[in-house]
Amino acid sequence: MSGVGAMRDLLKDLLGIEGVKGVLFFALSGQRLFEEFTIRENDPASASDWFALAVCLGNAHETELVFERGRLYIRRTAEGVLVVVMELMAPSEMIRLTCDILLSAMRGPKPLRGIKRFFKL
Amino acid sequence: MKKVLLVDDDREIRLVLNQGLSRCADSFAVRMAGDGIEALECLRSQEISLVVTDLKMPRMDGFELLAVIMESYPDIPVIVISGFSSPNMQRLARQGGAVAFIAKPFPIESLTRHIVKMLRKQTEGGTLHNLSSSIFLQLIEMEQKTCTIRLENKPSGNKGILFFVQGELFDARVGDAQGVAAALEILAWDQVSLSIQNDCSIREKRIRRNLYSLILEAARRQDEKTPLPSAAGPGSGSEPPVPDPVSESLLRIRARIENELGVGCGVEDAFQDPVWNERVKRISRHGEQLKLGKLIMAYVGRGEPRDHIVLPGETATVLAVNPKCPRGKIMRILGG
Repeated sequence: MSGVGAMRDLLKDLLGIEGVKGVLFFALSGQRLFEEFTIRENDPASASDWFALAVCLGNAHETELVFERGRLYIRRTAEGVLVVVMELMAPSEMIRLTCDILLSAMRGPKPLRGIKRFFKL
Repeated sequence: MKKVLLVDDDREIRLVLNQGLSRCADSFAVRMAGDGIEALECLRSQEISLVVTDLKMPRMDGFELLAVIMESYPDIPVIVISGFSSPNMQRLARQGGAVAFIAKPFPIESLTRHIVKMLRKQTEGGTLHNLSSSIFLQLIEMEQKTCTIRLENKPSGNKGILFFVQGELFDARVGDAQGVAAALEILAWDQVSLSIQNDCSIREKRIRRNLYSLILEAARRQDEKTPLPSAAGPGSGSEPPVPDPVSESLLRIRARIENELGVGCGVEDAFQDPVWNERVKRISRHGEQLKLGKLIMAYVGRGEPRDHIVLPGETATVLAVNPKCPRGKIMRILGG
């Protein structure tokens, strides 16, 4: 991860997908690192409400929840918890794939081992 | 064949109109009633596509009939024919929901043109045959269409109507049943022909539940109705097995997915697990706090060999699936 700015850019990519209403990213401690919504509710839920939901999912590393009025896609990684707030008909496969890519980018390149430390194979 | 109901207390007028409209016998059939009461009996017992009514009649007049049709059969257009054609009368009829007002006397061709135009309108958005209603209706919701969809269940011949306003299911009707009850019946039909009218006369939202939860409930109800093949073959002489509704329901859920996606679709097990109940309740509570409503379904992956799809209920129903399964398709079949 090259910095907070890069993380924000990556998360904003998610917001550009049709049907995505909001993206939140929390540290595992609960500290909110990113929160942005494309549509603001009149009486928006607080970040702690969203994190409380993520906590109640226990040790699940990937969860997709379908509610009466929307869907949530939640990923727990070593870096934190990502919550994607979606409309019911959002393209969830595309959103999952984008999350895979951006979470992998946020982790940065893996440290090389063995001969790969010295040569590009 | 579409049916047009002609309501007039003057027998001669009925006969003349019937004869005149018989030229269109290949497009629609004519049924006749002498007043509003007779017309309502006819509406209850037959599938009527359009009503042509006089205003001044004994027992139940045209205005009263119009009001009942707008309330109970809002998909049926009404053409008013009347000798009292003052602008005020015409305005009242239009306000009451009539799609056209024709002043008596009139040439038969004028009435025929109005009837044909209105009947064509009922299928202007196209007609589709032999499909499952649930997938198509999700498209209607996705495209936020305003339309009236008339469906016929091919196996039973039953007909029903769904009313969508900007993609939201506002109301439904099957015979005299309306609202959620009618929607659940229609959504359980899995082999329908349907025609689309690109507008919707309904403005009052009678159905408050979302389409997905209705599709899910309709599928469950349908599953409960479908008999499973007997485990003991015919003539085996053994006692018939006592049906276990829970396992039957689980088998049906699994069969439904495998029918659509094939046996190798990745559903490895289906069971009820009370361990999930408390967690499902908590998730649902959070969902309501977040204004998302009740939980309909959850997909949970823990990095184990099997992921789980959880359906809330008195006891949660759990499908154990291969993490590489077509998750989106399975969830859509289950109503999510």
